[in-house]
Amino acid sequence: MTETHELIKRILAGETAAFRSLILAYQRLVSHIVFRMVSNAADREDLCQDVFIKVYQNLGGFQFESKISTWIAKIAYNTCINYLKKKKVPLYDDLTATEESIENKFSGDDSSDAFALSSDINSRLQQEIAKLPVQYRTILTLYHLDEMSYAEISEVLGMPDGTVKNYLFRARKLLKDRLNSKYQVEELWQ
Amino acid sequence: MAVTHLSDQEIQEYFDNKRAALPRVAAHIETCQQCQAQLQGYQELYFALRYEPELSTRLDLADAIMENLKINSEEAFNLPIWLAFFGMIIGLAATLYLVGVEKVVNSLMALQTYFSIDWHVVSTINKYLSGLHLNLGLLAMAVFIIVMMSIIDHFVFQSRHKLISFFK
Repeated sequence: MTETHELIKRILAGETAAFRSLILAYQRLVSHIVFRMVSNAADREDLCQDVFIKVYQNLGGFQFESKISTWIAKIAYNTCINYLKKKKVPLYDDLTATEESIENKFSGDDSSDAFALSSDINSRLQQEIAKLPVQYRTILTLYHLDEMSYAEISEVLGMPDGTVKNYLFRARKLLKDRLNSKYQVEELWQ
Repeated sequence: MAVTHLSDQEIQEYFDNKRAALPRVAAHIETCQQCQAQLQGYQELYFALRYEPELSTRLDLADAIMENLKINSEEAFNLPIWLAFFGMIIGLAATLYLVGVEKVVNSLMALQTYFSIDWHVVSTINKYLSGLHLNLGLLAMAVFIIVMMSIIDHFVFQSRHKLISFFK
């Protein structure tokens, strides 16, 4: 029996300390997804809590057909999508448009003082990521921060592998082009 | 002869997995300065994307979630009480429907005998207790108030917990 099996068995037996361990192990993953998808700071922590409460309530139905991290990430993604739908945030489910139209749609306001005052690449990058469609942001986070494979991301988002790969390439290209268009390469990557 | 440079996708694929790259792509990167510059740009971007911003590293969810689950389980414990209440109403309705209203009323009338015995017992007790200067009506009222306060406290306790977890 693997460590995860053992942990889940203990949680289902009612051991609260085991569930605390699960929270500690996966709170980083959950908060990455929630913080990247939801811009309202006041709601982020509540959403993270909601995700773990759903995990607790549905753990008995977990069939070990996927990794527990993928299963938890999927709950987090769906929770955020439902929240965004409730808040009537446009999700742009169909991102099969050309790069130019996506670029125009999500270009944002470049004249903002905040952008101009950003001193380092990380703040500039975070601001640019925030302008991307929610699916692009989530894929970037899961791939680069949480080191998930295309197959795992595809399971979390409920999209084919090819779409995930395509969105990831386009998101990175958009980011690189937008950053390069605003800054000299030397200034940007110094 | 015009040089065909690598596409962004080819450069990203090369960076993602150099070992799986096509020989044509690998050979072009080796010799083309323009594509090397593109590759360098992506390398920097990949590095920056791995940087964790204010994404929540200081967030400690465990205590708040455990508190939330405790309240939820208390609420879940109340459910059977409500179920029992609804079950009682449904059961009563089903009895009236299946047995017939008239028969049920007749049965209740028959119970009057037992009630009269009960009232007889109560009045006997009252007779004995009157020597102690106790008022049964007042006592019943006190018991009723205590029960009502317990029920109210039960709900207030839950609300208090919710408020505490909200302000935490």
